[in-house]
Amino acid sequence: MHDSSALLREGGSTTPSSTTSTVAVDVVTVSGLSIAPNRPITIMVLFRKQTSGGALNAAGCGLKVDGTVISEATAGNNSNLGFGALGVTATAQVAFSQIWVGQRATNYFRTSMGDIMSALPTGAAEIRQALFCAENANWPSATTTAIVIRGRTGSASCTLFVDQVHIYSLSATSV
Amino acid sequence: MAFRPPQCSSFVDTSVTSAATFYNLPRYFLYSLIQRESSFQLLALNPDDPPGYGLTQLTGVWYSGTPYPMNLSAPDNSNLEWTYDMGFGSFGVWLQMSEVSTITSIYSADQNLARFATDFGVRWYQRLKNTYSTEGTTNLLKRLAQNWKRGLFATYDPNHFYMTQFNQYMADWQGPCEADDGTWSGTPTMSGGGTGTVVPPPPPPGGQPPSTTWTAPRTWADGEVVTSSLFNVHIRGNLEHLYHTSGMRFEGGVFTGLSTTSTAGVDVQTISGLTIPDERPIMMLVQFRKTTAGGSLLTAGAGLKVNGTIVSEAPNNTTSSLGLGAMTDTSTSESCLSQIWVGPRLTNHQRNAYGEMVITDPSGTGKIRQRLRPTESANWPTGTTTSIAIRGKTQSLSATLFVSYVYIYSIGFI
Repeated sequence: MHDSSALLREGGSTTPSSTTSTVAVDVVTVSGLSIAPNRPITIMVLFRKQTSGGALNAAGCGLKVDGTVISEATAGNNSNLGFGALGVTATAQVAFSQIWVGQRATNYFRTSMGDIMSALPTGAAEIRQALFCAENANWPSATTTAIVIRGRTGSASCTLFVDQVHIYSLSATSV
Repeated sequence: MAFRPPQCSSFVDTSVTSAATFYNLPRYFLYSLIQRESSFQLLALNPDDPPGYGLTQLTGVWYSGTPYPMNLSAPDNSNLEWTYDMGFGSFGVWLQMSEVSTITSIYSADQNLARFATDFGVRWYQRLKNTYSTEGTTNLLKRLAQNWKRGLFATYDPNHFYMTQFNQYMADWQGPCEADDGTWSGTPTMSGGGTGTVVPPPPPPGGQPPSTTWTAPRTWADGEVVTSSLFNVHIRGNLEHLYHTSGMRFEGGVFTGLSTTSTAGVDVQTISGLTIPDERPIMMLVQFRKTTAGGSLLTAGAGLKVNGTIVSEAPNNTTSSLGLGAMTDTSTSESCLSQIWVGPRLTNHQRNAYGEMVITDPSGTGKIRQRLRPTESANWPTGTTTSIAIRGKTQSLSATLFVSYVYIYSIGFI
């Protein structure tokens, strides 16, 4: 399609990956990207957690771009950093997070925003909150070539699943 | 700009105007009939038996058949069932099936209107005119509408429930249409002046009407002779379809920063030359920032002006949520990303916009995230959005507002 078809899927993953690591690790890597810095980006992530043994644990996702951790994954209760975290509960929870990133240019390397909607698998106990997606470092200024979804849990009895990742860029030119 | 009813989208209006011109039917009649039949909904479906389809609610295979009436693959003027359905035994042969336009997509505005005109409207009006030669055009059009609703054999009843609203629409819209088009001549035609061949309506001024039809792409064979009709359907038609239905389209933007220190609202960036129909939702991303010379009262904010109307003035009170939002009144430099979504700008929905912004200092600290009200001051104008200006205002001359990057997208609606 012509570049004026503004929303272009750049890459992603539809194969679930998981971790029980209590330190942040790479969970899903989407490489082979080529997103110019003047193209806005939106990323959608579906993730969830399962716990065992009645442990009260959270799990969350962060973002690494071209080797730089932009916002580290946390296991803080309903954290609003990175792609956010699920609550410290003994129940399974699911989440949908979406972030928006504008042009990566001087003075604007941190201005990205997002939202997370987390809930029980039944849809109850929903929490909606705003995300701050560039907590730890600037988004790189060069062409984006790899995006990694980071993950971390509160204990080894909690499993974080990153089920789907979709990365889109938006056009900056018209017909 | 020519009149159109507020219920009629500019997209549908393009097809109505084109059909009115081509078949010399008055626009106010087509508007009234379409409003009565489908409320201008392209995909209107009445599930009765037989079903009614699309803008004019084509009902019965004698009107809705594809590609020809009775679902014939080629016109057959002597098809027995069709001659019966069209009442030739009572009214004489008032129409030839070979005059009737083809349909490949019954919900296509162009095709739906062409079928109405060629399978009924033009020829039946001519017959009514001959039969009731002393009646004026308005009354004949009312008869035409009632026969469309109730069938060819119905006795005209001016008090029929269908007519109450139809007559009101005619009364409301005839004057504005005639102010644009002049008084209707009362002589509809099958092909823009002659009779016989039916061709698609011509493109309106300014471009080809968008195709709403998707055709399964053809599998080409070696040595195949490619005709213009194949190209027009499989290449042009499908590209038009994709162009108009693609989920999101970049409409314009600016990528060179401009600044102001004005403490009154001013235009900082203007994106003109836009042609965004009022049905297409809009999404905007705007990146702006402030620097300060120190001191206090140092906020700055951004607003919106659309087609010359300030829909939300730039705010200059700290962390305002109006327009595109404002930053804090601190002495630190700050940067923002604001995003707004605007629904279709139709009657009763011209304030339906929302947004969000994030504020950070360049190091990423001091973060603020808030929701925005982008249409605080006035309605987003109806009609085509042709220009969007980013307004700016500072709290004092010690603050400088930079509007750096603006991205404007529209979203498919077909």
